[in-house]
Amino acid sequence: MREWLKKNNFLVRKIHSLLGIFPVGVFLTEHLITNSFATFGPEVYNEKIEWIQSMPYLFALEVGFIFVPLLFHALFGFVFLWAWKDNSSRYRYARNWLYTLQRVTGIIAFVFIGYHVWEFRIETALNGKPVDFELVANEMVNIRAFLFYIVGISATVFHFTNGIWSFLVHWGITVGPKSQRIAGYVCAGLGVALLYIGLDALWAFR
Amino acid sequence: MKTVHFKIKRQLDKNSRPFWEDFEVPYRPGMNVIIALLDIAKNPVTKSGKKTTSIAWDCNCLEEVCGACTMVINGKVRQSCSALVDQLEKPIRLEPMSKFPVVRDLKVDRQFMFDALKRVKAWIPIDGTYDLGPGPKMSDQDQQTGYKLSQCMTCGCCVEVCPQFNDRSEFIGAAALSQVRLFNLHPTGKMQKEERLAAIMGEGGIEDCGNSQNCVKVCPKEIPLTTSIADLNRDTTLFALKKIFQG
Ligand code: HEM
Ligand code: SF4
Repeated sequence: MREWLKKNNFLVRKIHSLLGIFPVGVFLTEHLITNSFATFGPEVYNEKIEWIQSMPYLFALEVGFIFVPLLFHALFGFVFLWAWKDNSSRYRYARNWLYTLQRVTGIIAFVFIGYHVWEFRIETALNGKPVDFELVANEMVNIRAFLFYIVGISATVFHFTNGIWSFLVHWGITVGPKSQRIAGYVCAGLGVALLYIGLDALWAFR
Repeated sequence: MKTVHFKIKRQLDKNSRPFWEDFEVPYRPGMNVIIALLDIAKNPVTKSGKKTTSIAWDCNCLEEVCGACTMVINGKVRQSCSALVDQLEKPIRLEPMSKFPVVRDLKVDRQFMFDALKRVKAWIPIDGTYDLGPGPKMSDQDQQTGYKLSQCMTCGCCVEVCPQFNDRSEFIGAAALSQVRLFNLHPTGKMQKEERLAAIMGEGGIEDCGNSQNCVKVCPKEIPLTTSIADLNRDTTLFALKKIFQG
């Protein structure tokens, strides 16, 4: 495995990076927006959920566009963390902090997504519990779960939007310092917008 | 007499344990760290009056173009020749760079940097059995870009501050990557462009960059290292696509 990874470093890193945007990041965005229907009330929300649950090939879509890419990205993400020796407290540059946060939020996102998928997708499927507004609302009554979701959503949104910045450099799209600075502002704006959408939806369940 | 207090991290050889010694050095206006080290060498006595061995360190050009005197001063990596005592917080702490093997005291072995240049083929092969004649002309714009890149002195500051460069990683570092850009920019060097790109697409190559961008912040020659890396990200991506679709 180690030897294979060394030999295919370029390919694996590029796939890791691409999957972070497509489909994982695209799905994250779609997911946060879909959940915002909760702000229109339980009926509208449940209607949207039912629509998704009635999609053809749903299981194949879930596996192909979510589980497999996310697991690939997450598992190799952990492999890449091995070479990380943090020095952000010694060299206090903004980009160095963002570099560190990118890694920390990746780990938080893993824990958060793992738990989230377990309780709302796997456990419900095993027990035959319906997935709807009530299920989520019942969970969010618990203040600890609610806070966990705030942290988890924030970390994941940061990881994704700072990851877009990183992706643009990684693929040689933003090359010079000026374009990278502008991309930084755009990604920050996108991050704030997604965070608002995510947390606003979360509040609707309280 | 006005004096300056130095705390120096010492290590007697590659494998022995480091320890700290304090020194008090006579102050001279405009002095740099090298002058203090020369003073200690003349009279190696610690602040508390104990006789000790003289401190080993490297230096050569004394004008920040050779890179030899690079060390960690007050926690930040830089050249000791251009580190002026007046501008430093006291006591002044001197440590060897942490990413290279210590030879003794502040002297490290930066062989990795030079091996990295070999790994990426940072040269232009012009030797042959007959005279190849003059090469193609270089545009003024490329000359300007290349001149900046050519100022690298292989000092190692960029890898010292790189969180992706350490004993758990194979990463080659920003300096060597930037040299690939320099030689690929050169009209004659371009002829081996793909060889150099292939060299940085392997193990420890450009993909191991994690975008902390510390390198560009500390490079004493102000080389646009992150621009070089992003530029090579573009070139390696296009080269990989070319290999896929023309292979
Ligand atoms: C919603 C889930 C996730 C999304 C949308 C996402 C997205 C991204 C994106 C777009 C990048 C930038 C890629 C690049 O630099 O080219 C990235 C990098 C990274 N991700 Fe994720 N990610 C997610 C989950 C995770 C998880 C669970 C981990 C596990 C630890 C992780 C670890 C990493 C690491 C370590 C990097 C940095 C790679 C590098 O710079 O070498 N990510 N992610
Ligand atoms: S790129 Fe800058 S910091 Fe790195 S070795 Fe060259 S001169 Fe030193």
